Amino acid sequence: MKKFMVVGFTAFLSLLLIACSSKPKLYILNWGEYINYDLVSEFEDTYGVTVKWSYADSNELMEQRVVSQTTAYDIVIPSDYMIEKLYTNGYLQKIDLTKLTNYSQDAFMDGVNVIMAEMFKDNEDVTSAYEVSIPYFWGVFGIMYNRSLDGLETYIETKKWQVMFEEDPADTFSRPLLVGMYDVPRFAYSLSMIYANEVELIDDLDALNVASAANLTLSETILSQRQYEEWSTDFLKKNIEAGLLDYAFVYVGDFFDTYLIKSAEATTAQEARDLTSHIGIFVPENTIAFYDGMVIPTNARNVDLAYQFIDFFLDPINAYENSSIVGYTTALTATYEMIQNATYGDEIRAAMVSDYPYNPAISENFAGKPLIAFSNEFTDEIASMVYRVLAAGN
Amino acid sequence: MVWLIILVVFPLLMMILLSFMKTTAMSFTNATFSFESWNKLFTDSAIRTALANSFRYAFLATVIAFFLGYPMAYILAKSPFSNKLVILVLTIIPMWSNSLLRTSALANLLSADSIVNDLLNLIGLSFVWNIRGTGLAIVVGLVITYLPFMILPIYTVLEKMDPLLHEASMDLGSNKAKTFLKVTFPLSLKGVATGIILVFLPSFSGFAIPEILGNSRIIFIGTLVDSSFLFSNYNYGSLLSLVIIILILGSMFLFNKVDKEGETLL
Amino acid sequence: MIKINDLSYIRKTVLFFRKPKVAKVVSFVLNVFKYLFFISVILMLYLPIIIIAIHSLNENRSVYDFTNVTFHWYTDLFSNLINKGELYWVIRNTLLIAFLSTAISTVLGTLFAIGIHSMTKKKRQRMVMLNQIPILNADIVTGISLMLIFKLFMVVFPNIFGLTTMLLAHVFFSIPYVVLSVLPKLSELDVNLFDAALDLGCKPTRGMRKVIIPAISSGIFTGMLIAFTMSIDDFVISYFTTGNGFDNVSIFIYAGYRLNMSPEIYAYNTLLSFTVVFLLIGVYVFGSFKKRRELKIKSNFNRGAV
Repeated sequence: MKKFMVVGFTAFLSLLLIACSSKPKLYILNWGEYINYDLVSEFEDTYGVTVKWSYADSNELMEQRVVSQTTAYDIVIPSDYMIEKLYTNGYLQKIDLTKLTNYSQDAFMDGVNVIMAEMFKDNEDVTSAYEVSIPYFWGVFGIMYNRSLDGLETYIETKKWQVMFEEDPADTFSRPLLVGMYDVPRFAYSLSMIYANEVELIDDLDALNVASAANLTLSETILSQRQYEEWSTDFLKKNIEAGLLDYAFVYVGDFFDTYLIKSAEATTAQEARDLTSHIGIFVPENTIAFYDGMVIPTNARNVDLAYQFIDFFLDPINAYENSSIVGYTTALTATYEMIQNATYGDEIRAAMVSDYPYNPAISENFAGKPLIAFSNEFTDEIASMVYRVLAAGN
Repeated sequence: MVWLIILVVFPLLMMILLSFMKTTAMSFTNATFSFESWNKLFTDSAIRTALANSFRYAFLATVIAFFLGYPMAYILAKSPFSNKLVILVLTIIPMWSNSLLRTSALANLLSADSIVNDLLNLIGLSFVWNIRGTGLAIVVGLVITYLPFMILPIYTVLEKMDPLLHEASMDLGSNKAKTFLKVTFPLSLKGVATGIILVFLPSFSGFAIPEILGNSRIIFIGTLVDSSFLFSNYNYGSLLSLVIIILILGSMFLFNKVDKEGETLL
Repeated sequence: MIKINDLSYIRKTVLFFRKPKVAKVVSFVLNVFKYLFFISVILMLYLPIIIIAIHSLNENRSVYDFTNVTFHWYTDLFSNLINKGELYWVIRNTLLIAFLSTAISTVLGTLFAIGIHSMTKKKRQRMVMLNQIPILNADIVTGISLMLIFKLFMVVFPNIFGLTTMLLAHVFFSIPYVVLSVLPKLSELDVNLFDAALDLGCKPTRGMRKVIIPAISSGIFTGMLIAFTMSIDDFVISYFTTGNGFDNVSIFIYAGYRLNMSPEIYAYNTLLSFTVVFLLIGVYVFGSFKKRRELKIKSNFNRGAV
């Protein structure tokens, strides 16, 4: 046993030494499975660099890493409200848009422009939100459901967000509804505020971004109105597809993701539709929109390389290949058109995108609002509130 | 030795300090002294439920693990296998797989429709035990995850036990059951104590298993601690952690006093 | 004279079971139960990784439906490893840290345990309590406190985060487990043996090597196993104490699970577990085969000698 360990030890030590190369390194902090690594290899070969990946599974964990400054990342890819928070607290540097050859004012989809216009609108220091972050993927939130229960689709399409917060309607369904809620306290809170505005408990369209004690109490009441079968994040979409849940509040990207997984073995668009006929998604007019963007921290070591990387992924063709791996919606118009028109022969994706076109700007009725940053304290209070709601059900 | 003590004591002191203050995460720039965290501790209803849940389920899991683990260790120790250590290592190999994947696999099994059921249906069988989202699922998950930690220390103690003691007791007229109760078991208590610690502590302060197997519906104290630190409320998080430490160390201390020789936990 | 018929039923049942033939049957049945129990519990422990193995052979990425058997996740995994893709780096990091930290913490932990054992009772109790604290603390507390301490070192070593800090962190949280496993064995140890060795002219280090270590070897082995297990699957502490792109498998899995995580990870987990299982079974079979041969040679020799 001891001999084995000595040998193993030396072997690994030598591996470690061999692995050290002298190429410049680019340090990126990203979500897991959120990029096409073949493309990254292409980038590495073209520019003669090594990309070192770090992974995080939530905005809060990303924040901890950036704020603690234990690693000087060159690029980080957080979500909207976290981008705002990091920038306001001075952890990000501005992006010089002239250095990005593939950037242009109209490169991005209308919906993205709408979201970006909302971001930093009160901040005089920032003229254009694109100076802080370059959008990567985006989308909206909606209700994903399993069609197998009779009458569920109509119920959701008529009642919209009310289905998330109100008791099961009497005598409509043969059994109690199994509802899932997204286990990020911030999302639950903001959604409850959207609902409150819709049923006229309050009169504030922006309530989802208002941090007040009154709203917090209201939210607690709303969230306590019904029992949720499950509070989780990634399991919601899987469980809806498997029929263990009837519907849940999820990212629309979760739906697309499930669609692509279920139709992975299909060869025609119709086959794909058949394989996914049991799941559906509905997006009410007032919803939460989000985007993930590439940002450059202030203490980045390889800023020029970072620009090259961002530029690389602003190329529509690269973005197309990237989005074929990641299920979320691409931010570039040119890429979206490539998907819509099945330019590279991907019929299934084209069909999916045309069946479910959820972009806040295409339909005038959509008002997808991005979340703004709350203070750490208030976010923590929201979390405590959610735990109180959960504890009351124990 | 000394620097290890520093590594343990320093964070403790930090935590005590933080719990009496109000800081922005770790920066002491705008720090003020405040009893806010303490106030929250006593007013928030979620804590009492969380502590009760953690204690209840960790206790259940430990008891079940004991009644499963002790026989396992005993059978292995007294068996005529030629290389028992090999079999011992076999019990711990499942723990080398990622716990998120393992817990999700269990959650899958304990749902209304599982991949195992799918396969079994192919050969005409079926297995559905839909307890996901309940406390029972959490206990099952805790036991399956931490049972090897109960088996290992008990086996270590039983294996080196002098067989002559057993023989002597039988020779002196005791029967098998009495020998076990009066000779074997008391001598193995140290292993049992270690096993209990290794199973109870992670069950009590963990949060991944309750989250996945309980559908996040049942709150554990670990969930609250984790959430506080994640949302940069280090003050409250430190306070909660201190509470956990005091509770458990306190019970260990009391146990030491009650224990006649005071040697069991050492 | 007391006749059999006068005895109470209880005594009759006891006497019945003491009859040699009946006793044999009973002990056989009990033996069967014993092994059935043992195997069932082992199977129960293996349930999760069997399910993971099923996932790794599933053509479909959906976790609830099994469509076809396929090995292509395994081939994907191998091509990823050979081409030094992301999986290669995280797996290499995980195994490197696991082996190194286990080796270091076992040695240090054993030394500490010996040190603690030789203290006075009061001091010993206090040290044991201190030892339990890292085990007690929620991972995130340990992770953040270690991160803060390592940050202080960043002044002198700006790039310390990564392999070094993760290794230090793993050693730190593994040592208490080693101590916990070794201490009970030390208290069983007969101190006189060590004194006797010293009296017979042994130098203390030699005495330690030849007397103490063998006696507590099973405790050291257990501690080593637990340390390895804790290290190979750690997420929270590793997350906070690493940097500069040195992530391990747990961080990778937690990050990727939300989106469309590739089943190659299931393939990796299955390979890790079952390769070791088969290795161990091989060692066991080979070992018992060797023993039987040795016994045979011995008995032949004895017969021949007569």
